[in-house]
Amino acid sequence: MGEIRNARACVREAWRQFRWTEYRPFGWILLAELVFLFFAFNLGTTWGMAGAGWIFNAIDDSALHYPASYLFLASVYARVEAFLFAVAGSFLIPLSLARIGASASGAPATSPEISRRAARAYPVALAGYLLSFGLLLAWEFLVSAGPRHWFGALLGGLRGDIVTWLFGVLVACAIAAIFFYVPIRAVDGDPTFPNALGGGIREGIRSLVPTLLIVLTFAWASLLVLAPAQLLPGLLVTRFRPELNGVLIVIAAVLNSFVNYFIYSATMRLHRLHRQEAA
Amino acid sequence: MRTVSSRALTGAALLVLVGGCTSFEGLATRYRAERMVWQAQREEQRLRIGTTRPDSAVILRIREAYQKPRRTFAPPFVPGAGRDVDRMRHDVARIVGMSELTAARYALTAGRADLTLESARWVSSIAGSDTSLQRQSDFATVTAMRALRRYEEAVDLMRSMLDRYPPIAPPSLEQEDPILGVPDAILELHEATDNAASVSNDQAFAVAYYRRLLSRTPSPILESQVRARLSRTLLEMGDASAAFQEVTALQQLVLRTQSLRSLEPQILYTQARIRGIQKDYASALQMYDAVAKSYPSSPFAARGLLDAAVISERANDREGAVRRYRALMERPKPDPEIAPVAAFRLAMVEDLRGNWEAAKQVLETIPVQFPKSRAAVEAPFAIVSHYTRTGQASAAKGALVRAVDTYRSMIAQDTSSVYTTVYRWNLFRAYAALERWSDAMATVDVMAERDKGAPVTAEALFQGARIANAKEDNARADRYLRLIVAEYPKYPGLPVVRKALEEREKAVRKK
Repeated sequence: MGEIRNARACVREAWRQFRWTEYRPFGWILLAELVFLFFAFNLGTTWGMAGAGWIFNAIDDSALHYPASYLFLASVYARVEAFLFAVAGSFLIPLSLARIGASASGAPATSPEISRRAARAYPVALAGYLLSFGLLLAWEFLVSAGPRHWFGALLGGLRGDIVTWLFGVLVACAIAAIFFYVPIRAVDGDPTFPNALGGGIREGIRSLVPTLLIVLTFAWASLLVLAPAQLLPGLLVTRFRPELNGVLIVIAAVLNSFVNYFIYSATMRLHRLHRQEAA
Repeated sequence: MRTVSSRALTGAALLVLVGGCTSFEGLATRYRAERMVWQAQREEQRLRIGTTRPDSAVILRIREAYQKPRRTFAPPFVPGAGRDVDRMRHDVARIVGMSELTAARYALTAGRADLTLESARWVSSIAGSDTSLQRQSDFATVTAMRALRRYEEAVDLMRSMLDRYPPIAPPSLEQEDPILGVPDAILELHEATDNAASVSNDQAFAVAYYRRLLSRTPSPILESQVRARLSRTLLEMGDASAAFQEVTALQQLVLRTQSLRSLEPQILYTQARIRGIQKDYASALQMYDAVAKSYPSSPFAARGLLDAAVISERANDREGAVRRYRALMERPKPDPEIAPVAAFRLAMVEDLRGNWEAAKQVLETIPVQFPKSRAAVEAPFAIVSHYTRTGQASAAKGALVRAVDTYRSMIAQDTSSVYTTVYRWNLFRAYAALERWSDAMATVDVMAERDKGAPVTAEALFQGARIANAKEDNARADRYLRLIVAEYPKYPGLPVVRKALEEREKAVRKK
C-alpha cells in the first residue's frame, strides 16, 4: 500500500516539476520521428519516397502503394521508433535521467559531467533496451499464437480484438516497466555493466506494481489515441481517409514522447526514494 | 592519382544518387496515380450515395474523376531509362490506363460512346508491351464501336484480337478467358443486326479458330473450354457428326481429369442435342430431362428444358412443351438469353392451344422482363399478327398503337442497345401499318442518321422512298434512294434502286 502511495507521490512530483531541459533529449527523438512521419505523409513526392520509402520497402513491397502505406504505417513507425530508442535513446534517455537526477540534487542540469555520465551509460542502456525489445517481440508473437485465437473464439469480432489488444498492451507495459530501472541505475552512481543491468532488472521486478501504476497513469491517453490505428487500420483506411491513420500516429507520437519523459521522471524519483529508504 | 580516383568516386556516387532519384521519382509517381484513382473511387461512392440509377450528369462527373490521372500524368510517365524505370512506367501506365477505361465505361453508360472510343484508343496508345491493358482497351473499343453501330469495324477488331491474344489457361473451370467468347460475340452481333449472310461465315471462322487453338495442345481446362465451344458451334452449324467427335473427345478428357467433372451436365446436354439433330427425338428428350433433373443448378438445365420443349412442340406434345417452358420460366434467376426465347415460344404454343389470353399476357410481359432480347423485339408484332390472322382489324390497330408505345419506351430506356436499330425498324413498320406516313418517314430519317450502316436501314430507306413517292414527295424519295446507293453497296435491291433513280432522272430531263 505504501509503495502505491509512493508511486502516486512520484507521479505528482514528476508532473509538477516538468522541465524543458530534462525533456529535451526526448524531444530530439520526437523530432526524428516527426521527420520520418512527414516523409511518410509525402510518399507522393520524390523526397518523401527517398526519405521514408526505403523503410516501408524493407517491411513489404506493397507498403509502397496507396492507400496500403497507411495500413502499414503503424508497424513501420513502431520499427523506426524502436531503432531511434535503441541507437539514439540509449544515450538521450540516460542524458535526460542524469539531468532529472542533477536537478533533484540541486546540481546544474547541463554540465559536461552529465553528458559524460550519459555516454558511460550507453552500453548498459542499449543492452537493456535490446533485451526488453526482444522480450516484447516474443510477447507479440505469443499473443498472436494464443490469446488472439482464444479471445477471438470466446468473444468474436471487434470485442475479441479489443480484449486481446488490452491484454497484450498490459503485459507489454509490465515487461517495459521491468527494464526502466536499467538506464536509471546506469546514470545513478557509477555501477559496473552487470551491476547496472542485473540490478536494474531486479529492481524492476521488485517494484513492478508501482512502476506499472506509473506507466498506466501516464500512458492511457496515448494508448487511447493509438488504439484505433492499431485495432482498426483497415476500417479507417477504407471507410474514412487513409491519412486519418497517420494523423492518429502523429498525435500518439507526440503524446508518447511526453509520456516517456514523465514515466522516466517518476520512476527515477521512485528509485531515489527506494535508495533513501534503504540508506 | 588521388584526384582522379576521388573524382571517379564522386561520379559513381552521383550516378547512384541520380539512379536512385529516378527510381524514387517513379515510385512517387505511381503512388500519386494510385492516390488519384482512390480519390476517384471515393468521389464515385459519394456521388452514388442514395442514387439507385444516377443520371447522365452524375455519371459524367464520375467519369471526370476517373479521367483525372490521364490529365495529370503524361506519357512516358517516368523520365529516365533502365529496367527499374521501365517497370515503374509499366505500373503507372496500368494504373492510369485502368482509370481511363473506368471513365470509358461511364461514358458509355451516359450514352457517349464517342468518348468511350476516344478513351479506349488513348489507353491502347499507352499500353505498350502490357498485353493485359492492351486487351482491355481493345474490348472497350469493341464495346464503343458496337454502341456507335460501327459493327463491321468492331468485327474486324475482334478478329484481329483473336490473332493477337492467345487465350490464357484459367486456374479453374469457373473462370474463362474472355477472348474465347469473341467468336460467339461476332456471331451474336451479326445475328442481332440482322446480318444473316455473315452468320455462316462467322461460324466457319469460329470453328477454324477453335481448331487452331486445339492444335497447340492447350492445358486440360483450356482444352475442355475450347472443345465445348467448338462442339456447340458445330451443332449450330448442323454438323452433328463433327460435333459428336468433339463431345466424345471432351468426354474422354473429363474421364482422364478429375477437376473437369463439373463439365458432365454440358456433355450430357450436347449429346442430347446431337441426338436431336440426328432426329432420335425420344433419346434426346430423355437426355434433356436427365440434365434438368440431375443437374438442376447447372445453366445447361435451362438449355435442356428449352430444347426439350422445342422437341415436344415438334412432336405435337403441346402439354409437354408448355410444362417445360413454364418449368424454365419458374427457375430462380432466369437465364437472360434463354428465358425470353422460352417465354415467346410458350406464348406461341398457348395461342395454338386456344389460350390466347394466357399467350397475350406472356407476350406483353416480355418487353418489360427482357427488354434486351430478340423476343422483346418480336413480341408486340406477334400480338398484331394474331389479331390480323383472326380478322380482328380494330384489335390489330390497337395492338399496333401499343407496339409503337412499347418500342418508343424501349428506345428511351437504352439508347445504346444493339436492338435500337431493330426497334426503330419495327416502329417504322408499325407507323406504316397505321398509315401514319409522316411519322414513318421521320423514323426513316432518324434511322438514316443514327443507324447508318445497318442492313435494315437500307431497307427502311427503300420502303421510305416508296412511301415518299406515293405521297408525291419526290425530293425525299430521291434523297433516300441516293443514300442507299452511296452508303449501302451491299444492299440486295441496289439494281432496282439504280434503275428507279435513272428513270427519275430521265423524267426530269424530259420535263
